[in-house]
Amino acid sequence: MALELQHDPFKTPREIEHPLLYWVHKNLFSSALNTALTLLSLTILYLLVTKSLIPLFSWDWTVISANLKLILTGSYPMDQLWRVWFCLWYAALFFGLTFSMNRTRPPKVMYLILISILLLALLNFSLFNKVSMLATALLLFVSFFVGTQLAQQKKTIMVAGGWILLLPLSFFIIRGVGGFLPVVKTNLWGGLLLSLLISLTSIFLSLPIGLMLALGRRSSMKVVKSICIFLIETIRGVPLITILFIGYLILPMALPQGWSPSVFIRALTGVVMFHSAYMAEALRGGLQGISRTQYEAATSLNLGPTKTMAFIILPQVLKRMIPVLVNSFTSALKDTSLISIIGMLDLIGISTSIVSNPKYLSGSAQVLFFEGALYFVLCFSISKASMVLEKKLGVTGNIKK
Amino acid sequence: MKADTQKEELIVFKDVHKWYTPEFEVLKGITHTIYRGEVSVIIGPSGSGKSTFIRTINALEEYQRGEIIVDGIPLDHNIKNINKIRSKIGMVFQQFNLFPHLSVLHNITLAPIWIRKLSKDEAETRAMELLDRVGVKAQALKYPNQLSGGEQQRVAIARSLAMDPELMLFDEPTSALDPEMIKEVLDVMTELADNNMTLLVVTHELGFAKAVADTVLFFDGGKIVEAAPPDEFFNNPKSDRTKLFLSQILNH
Repeated sequence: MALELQHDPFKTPREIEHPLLYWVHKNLFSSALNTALTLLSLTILYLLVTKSLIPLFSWDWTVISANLKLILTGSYPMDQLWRVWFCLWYAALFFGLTFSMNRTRPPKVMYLILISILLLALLNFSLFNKVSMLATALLLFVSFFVGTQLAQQKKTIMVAGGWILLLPLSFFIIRGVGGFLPVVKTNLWGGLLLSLLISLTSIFLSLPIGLMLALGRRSSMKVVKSICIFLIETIRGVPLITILFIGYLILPMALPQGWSPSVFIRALTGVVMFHSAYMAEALRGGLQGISRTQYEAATSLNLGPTKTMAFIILPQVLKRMIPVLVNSFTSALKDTSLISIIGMLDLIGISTSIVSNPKYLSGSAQVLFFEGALYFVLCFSISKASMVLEKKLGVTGNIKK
Repeated sequence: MKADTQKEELIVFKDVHKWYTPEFEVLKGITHTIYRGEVSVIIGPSGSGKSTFIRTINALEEYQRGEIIVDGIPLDHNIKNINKIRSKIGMVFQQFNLFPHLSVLHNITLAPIWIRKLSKDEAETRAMELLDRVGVKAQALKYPNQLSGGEQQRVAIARSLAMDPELMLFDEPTSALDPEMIKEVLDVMTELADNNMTLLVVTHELGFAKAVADTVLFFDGGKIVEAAPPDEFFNNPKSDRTKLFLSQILNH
C-alpha cells in the first residue's frame, strides 16, 4: 500500500495556506530589528527611485548626443574616422575568433553586443556610422562562424598573434605615416579613444616590463638587483600625478629645445612606468608563492633558468594571479583619467571642457553619468572576462556545495 | 648482489666539505667512491647530512672544499660541466615535485622535447613506455593532484627516466607516502636496480637496504661513519654509533 503524502511534511499548515504572507512574515517582519531594517530599506529604495531613477529619464540628454563624437574620439578629423572604425573592426574580428575557442554556438555576450549595436543603430547617427556599426557586428559573427570551422591549434596561434598585433597596428593606423596615410597628430586624439589607447598600452606593456623588473629584483646579480629595486621603489614611491607633471613640465626644460617628445608620448611613458612598478611587486609576490621544490625539480631535469621560468614557474604564477592582474588592469584603466590634469583631452578631460561651455552648463550631471557608465562597462567586461578565464583554467578555488 | 668484476668509478668524493657558515658545517669531509651499477643506500639520523650529500651530486647544493668528480667530469663552478653532469643524473624527491599545471604525460615529455630535442611523437611514445614500466599508464592524461601519492612518485621516477640518466638519486622517496603505497614505489626502484641502474637512495626502509643495496652508508654528524655491504652492516657493524642507531630503530 503506497503512502501518499497530502502535504510537504517540512511545511507548517499556515505556510501551505498562505505561502506569500508566510514568506513576508518569516523574512521581513520576524523580529523588531528585522521590521525596522525592512522599513529602512523600503525608505531608501523609495528615495532612490523617486529622486534618482525617475529624474534620469526626464533629463535632457542632448549634451551627450551633440558631443558624442568629441567624447568618443576628441578632435580626430571627421574625414579620417574610418581609421578608428578599422581598428574596431579588427578587434571585432579577433573577438569573434576568441569567442569561437572551444565553442560551436555564440555565447550570450555576443548576442548582447548585437542587440546593443542594433539599438544604437536606431538612434540618430550618420549613415556612415550606422553602416560601420553594423559592419562591426557582422564581422564579429562572421569571424565566430569561420572560427568554428578552423582547427583548434591554428586558431590559437591566430588569436594570440591577432591580440598581440592589435595595439601596434592601431597606433600605426590611427597615427598614420607620411606618404601612406596622412599623419594625425597625437594632440588631436581625445576622448574614449585616447583613454583606451593609453590604458590598454599600459596594461599590455606593464606585464612584460613588470616581469623583467620582478625577475631582476630576485636576481643574484647585485647590480641588476639594485637597479631594479631603485626603479621600483622610486616610481612606486611617487604619486602618478607627480610623474605626469615631471614629464609634462620638467622634462622639456631638461632637454634641449625640440628634443622633447610629444605630450602624448611623455604621458604614456609615465603611465606605463608607474603601472610596471606596481605590476613588478605584484608579480614578485606571485613568484614567491611558488615553492623552491618546483625550481629544484626543473633544475634536476636540466631545464635551465629561462625554460624553468617559461614552462614551469610563469604558467603557475599567472594562473594564480588572475584576480590580482585584473585588479591592476581595472585600476590602470581608471587611473588613466589623471592625464586630464596635464591638459590631455581624454574621456575626463574632454567632458570637463564640454561642461565648461556655457551652452552645456546644465549638462554636467549627464556627462558625468555617461562617463561613469562607459567606465563601468569597460571594467565590468574585464572582470567578467577574467571570471570566464578563471573558470576555464579551473582556478576559482570555489568550495563546492 | 652483483659480482665485483671490473668496477668502474662513477662518482668520486674527495674530502668534500660544505658549510653555510663556518660554525654550521653540514658535510665534514666526505671521501667515498660510487661505482657504476652499484646501489648505495644512505641511512642516518635526521640532520646528519645525508640529503645534502646526494644533493651536492647534481649541484642542487654547492660545496665549499674538496672535489667531486662525476663520470670523469669535475663538478666545479663551470656551468658547462654542471649541465653535463646534470644530464647524466635523474632525481626523485620526497614530495614528488611534479609540475601541478601539466598533465602526467606533459610532466614527462617537457624536458625530453626541450632539452633532448626529441619530436613530440617520439617523446610521447617514450613517455607511455615509461609510464607502462612504472605501472601508471592509465593515468597519463590526468593531472598530478588527481593521483595518489604512490602514483605521483612513480610518475616522478618515469619523468627522471625520460632523460635517460646513468644515475638516479632518491631523496627519501617513500617518506611522504601512506604505508600501503610504499611497496609499489620500492618495487619500481628494485626493478631499476635489477636493470643495473646506479642508484643512490636516502631512505628509512631498512628492508629495501637489506634486499637491494650493494653498499649501505651510515651518516652521522656530516660524516660517513660506516660504509659496508648490507650483510656486514646489519649483522656485524663496526662502529659503536652504528650499533646504537641500529638498536634504536630495530628495537621499537
